[in-house]
Amino acid sequence: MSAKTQHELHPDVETLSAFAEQAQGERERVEVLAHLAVCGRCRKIVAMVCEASTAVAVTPAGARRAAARPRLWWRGWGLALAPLAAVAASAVIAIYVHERDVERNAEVARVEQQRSTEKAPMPPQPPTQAAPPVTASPAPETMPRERPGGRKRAPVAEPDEKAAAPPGAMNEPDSSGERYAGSPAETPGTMADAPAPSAAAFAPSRPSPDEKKESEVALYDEERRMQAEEKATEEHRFAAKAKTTASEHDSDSGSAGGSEQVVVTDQQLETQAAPPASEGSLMGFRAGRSSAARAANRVHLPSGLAAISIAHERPRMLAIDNSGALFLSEDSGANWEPVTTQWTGRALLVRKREELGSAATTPPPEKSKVAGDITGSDAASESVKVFELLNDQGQLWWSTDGRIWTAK
Amino acid sequence: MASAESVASAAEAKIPAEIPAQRGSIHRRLLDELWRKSEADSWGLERVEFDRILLDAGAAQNFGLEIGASATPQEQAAFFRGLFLGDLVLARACAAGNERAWEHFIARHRQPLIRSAIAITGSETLGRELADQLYAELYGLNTREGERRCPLLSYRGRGSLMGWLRTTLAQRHVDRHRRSWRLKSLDDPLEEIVAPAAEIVPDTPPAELSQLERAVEEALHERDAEERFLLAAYYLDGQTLLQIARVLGVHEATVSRKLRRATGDTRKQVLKNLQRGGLSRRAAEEALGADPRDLDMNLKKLLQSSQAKTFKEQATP
Repeated sequence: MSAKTQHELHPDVETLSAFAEQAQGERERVEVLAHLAVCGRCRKIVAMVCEASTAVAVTPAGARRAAARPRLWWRGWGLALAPLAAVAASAVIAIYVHERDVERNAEVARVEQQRSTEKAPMPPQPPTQAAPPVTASPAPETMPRERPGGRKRAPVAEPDEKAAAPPGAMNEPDSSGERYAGSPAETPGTMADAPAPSAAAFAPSRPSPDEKKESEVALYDEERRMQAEEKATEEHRFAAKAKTTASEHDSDSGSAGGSEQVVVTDQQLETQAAPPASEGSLMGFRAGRSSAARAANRVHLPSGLAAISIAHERPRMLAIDNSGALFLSEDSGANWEPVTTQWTGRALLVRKREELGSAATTPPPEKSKVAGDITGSDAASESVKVFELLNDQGQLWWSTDGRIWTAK
Repeated sequence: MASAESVASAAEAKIPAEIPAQRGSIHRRLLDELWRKSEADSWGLERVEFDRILLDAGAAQNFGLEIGASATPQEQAAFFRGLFLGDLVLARACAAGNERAWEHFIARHRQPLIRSAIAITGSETLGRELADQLYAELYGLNTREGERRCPLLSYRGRGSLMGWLRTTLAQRHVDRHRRSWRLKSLDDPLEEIVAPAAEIVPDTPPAELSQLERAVEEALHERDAEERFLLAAYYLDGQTLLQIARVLGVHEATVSRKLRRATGDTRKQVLKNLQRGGLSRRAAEEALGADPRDLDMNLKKLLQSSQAKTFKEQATP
């Protein structure tokens, strides 16, 4: 048999190829199988073709089937895996940040609650025992505690001292004392009835023209402020001192009453309005506190969170929400706008203070403020209302308009 | 045009017949559909040429039916829709010398062709040589009677063009190997020459041996095509279950199961044949235990003596 004849006895390439790709009908397939059963050459060819197609990993029949059917799901999703992974990573980070914020808020709330609970039941204490820096200094022993007529010298509003004693800070007097000016708690008779420490604590910051030592007092207070400022740099010490001195400062807390500085936690609200020492003053304190709470409850910040601290100088209002964001309202709380963060840490407290006009432009205002508190109506007439902001590290920022903040 | 759009009867589609006479037998809509599907116009093929290629392919394979059978229009349509039309028109365009088609062919099939050749030959050198040789043939460097001949003209789209190329490579490689094997010197050991064993007196009586040979022959002839293929591929070629499974397109466990059943059935059939020849069951089982070397039978020859009628008839001019 010639080669040609032998070749013609075999299925052609087309048939063998179609058999290898299983592209034939059953009848043709059986025919080819019958030939393959008796033909070693064609078996070898078909086996080689199948091996080669497997080795090359390109199966045309499979390719045709793949072209006919939709793309494999994992290939379709393969392109989406990258953004999916990015979204998942973002979600994980967001959850982590959120939980950290929640823990942080819970801790802050716990500290605030601890302050308030420790502050409320403690009896009033003399100012000399109010803060450790004061007691450590011999100067307070020489300081006049009580003025004639039963009026106490107004304690100087000092944020740093408050930082050393947070409860005291919460009840720090408002420098203006305007709201107290007409209140019954401010009347001399009422003040005289009050115990001396309480009277000292709740007395309005109205300067007495007959005092000669007021400049000395101012210097003394400045020293106290400097000492307290050093101690206020550490947050842990801040909290520790808050516990230890909470009760002591409770007595002189809010002696500058009248301000509507409010500290509100989730379910708790504190005010820096200083009630008078007398019973009527205490009632006023309670009334002021509840009104402040109502005021805080009335505040609806754009963030949707509850306000933890509010200060206002009509018609301007400032409020800090639970997340530490500061909001400003120029129309007594009708409309709020967020204030760009210009401070470090988390804002905990905002309040209003009165500074001398010249001093208000240059921080720190304490010195001038002390002078203004003591030196009388001339200085008071030049006073300027400023806002103070306290962060969670005990640091202070101040601003005259609530928008631009400068570190003290 | 009415005749062109009419559905041809099965008689009209009878193969072989003159292609021009059959042109009107295919539904015009089907041809339109296939024309659009193949995108043959992008390779410069004309519609008339495309129709002729399709009819040629259908006639050459009788639309996938048995030779002599008449294809109904539905069978014709199924056959045409099963063709690799894109590959078919590409091959014909290449055979016609369309440059764009050749560029597309090279870009798509050149590297797979080389990789397939390397896989078939098991050698990169031989593989590249084989691929280059085929590539030269495809490009039409061979001429017969002054006419350029391109093997792509024989591609009719039943399988993919890449499968066709791969099969062509394998065929060339096997044929070359067989030619070179036949030219081997006698000093080389020959695979199929088995040295005769020493003269051993068989334990089984010669009458039983001849009866056993007949029984085995009959049993193997009664196996169907697939079982014979399995037995030949596994026992004669020494292919693995995996290789056979790839050829059949089934899992190798299926091949194993079919193979076990084929051997078991063959054994039972041999026993039956022996008993039918007058042996008792015990004697038949003893005869099956005869030393295979005592049998004067060539299983390879026996298996390959089965008639492949189809292809013998196909080879008939």
